[in-house]
Amino acid sequence: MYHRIVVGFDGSDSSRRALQEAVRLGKLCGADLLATLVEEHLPKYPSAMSETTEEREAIDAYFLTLRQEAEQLAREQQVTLNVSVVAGNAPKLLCDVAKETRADLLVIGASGRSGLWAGMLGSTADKVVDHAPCSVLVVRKWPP
Amino acid sequence: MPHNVWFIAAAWMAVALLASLISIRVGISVALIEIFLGVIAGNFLHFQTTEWINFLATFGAGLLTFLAGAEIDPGSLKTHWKPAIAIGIVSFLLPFLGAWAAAYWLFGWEGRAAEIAGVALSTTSVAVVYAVMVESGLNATEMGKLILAACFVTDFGTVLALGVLFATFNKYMLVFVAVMAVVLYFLPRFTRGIIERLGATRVSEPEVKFLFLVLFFLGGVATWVKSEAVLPAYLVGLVVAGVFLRDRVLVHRIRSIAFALLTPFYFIKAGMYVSLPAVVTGAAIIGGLLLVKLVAKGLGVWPTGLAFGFPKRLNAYTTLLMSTGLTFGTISALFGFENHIISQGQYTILVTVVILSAVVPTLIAQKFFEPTKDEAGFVAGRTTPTSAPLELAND
Repeated sequence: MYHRIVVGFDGSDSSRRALQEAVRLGKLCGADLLATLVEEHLPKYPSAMSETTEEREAIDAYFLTLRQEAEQLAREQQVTLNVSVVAGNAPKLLCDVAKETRADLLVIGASGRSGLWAGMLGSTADKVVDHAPCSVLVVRKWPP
Repeated sequence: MPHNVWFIAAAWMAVALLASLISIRVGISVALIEIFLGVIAGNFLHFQTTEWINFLATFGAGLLTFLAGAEIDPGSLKTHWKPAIAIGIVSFLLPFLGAWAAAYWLFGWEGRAAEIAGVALSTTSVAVVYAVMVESGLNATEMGKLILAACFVTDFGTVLALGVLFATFNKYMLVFVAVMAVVLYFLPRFTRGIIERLGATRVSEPEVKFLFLVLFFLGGVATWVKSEAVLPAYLVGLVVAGVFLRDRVLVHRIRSIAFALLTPFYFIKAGMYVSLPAVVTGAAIIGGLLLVKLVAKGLGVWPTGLAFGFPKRLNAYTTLLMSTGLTFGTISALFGFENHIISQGQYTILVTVVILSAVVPTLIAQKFFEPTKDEAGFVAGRTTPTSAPLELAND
């Protein structure tokens, strides 16, 4: 039985599966659920102020949609889901949130939006599994 | 096939597309990636410019300059004019004189080439500063607005120096000044009128075409008198700033046009002229000029900030942010190279220093001097720090 579950959600298909799995598990265990949405950093060293402003607005709009999607799923499943949006390095932040909230399960997708890059540098899932303070459930996009 | 305009355009746009994809992935601005890819394209793929590429690139630089002027909030400048002007002037003047003197006396550059070095390294990148402040939330405070206003003053000095130092002074210059004065006087009300009256027919983009018309015309007059087109572009941006910032759709449209079609040509071209062997052979001068820029900015901004009562940590942060440079630095260096004032080696040195000045001070500022919310809320002239929002701080 899990008491507190943290799930990483970035809008990728894989993380969407992770969210669904976390909600299913949360409902089954009666656990507290926290969805953590990790924002990407704004582009560094831009050439125009509006580049930053418009990127900020696009990120805000995108994460508002994700938040609404996560809350809608929780409502449909009749569970309570807290959603937080944080900015920075996804593996580090997910581990930090799990540690701070004393979660006993961290649920993530097997491959997020960084699929191609992850092949070279290691995926978010690899890093979370290595550094998480609790058990980690890595949810695959398709069943193996 | 090598002279087929479509294939040439496709090759350049392929580089621009690749730059966008890399930029999205690594979180670094597309401008910087375009410069890096331009270096590869120039050094290894033997990219060449054509007349139409040069025009697109020049207009891209002009639009960036216009945006730099237009994106300034005139209200902030009005509110903080004393510290902004004082910090802005020393932030321009000391690095200009320092880099000029170092290039001339220390590195043996010719007088005109040393002047280009002074202009290129005097800049502060308002866009880089803004991006750093958005990350820390400082942009929403009065302190952030003051720093942006000071950046604007510095850039004004840079643009003015570039426009004046290298212009040919004759009777045509008087015509240029007169035309500029008339256009700039009437421009805000014309622009406002076009935006307000023709807003319903936006699909035909009259406001964008109007601004392009003005920029083309004044750019033509500026180059006719052997001056640089960035000066009128910046001044046009400045006088329409209030009108421009209220119309977010217009800002978005102009930025979209610039970033999709024009600025890629400018930044790829700026990178293309960088010679990799010259980066190696000029490493010592690159280090020296970067040091000169950072020290000169420090010597100017640090004591001025203290004189206006900035807390020490925030003052260090401000000083480092004011040391950043990017767009105007590359524009100045490219102007010098294309007008045969500096060699390709000197151009390479200046562009490398400019790029390093975007990265190094930013990293130091964010790592060691990022202000707390209380510090960020400090407003020059008050005796105690405050985290008051804009509305309160303006009281």
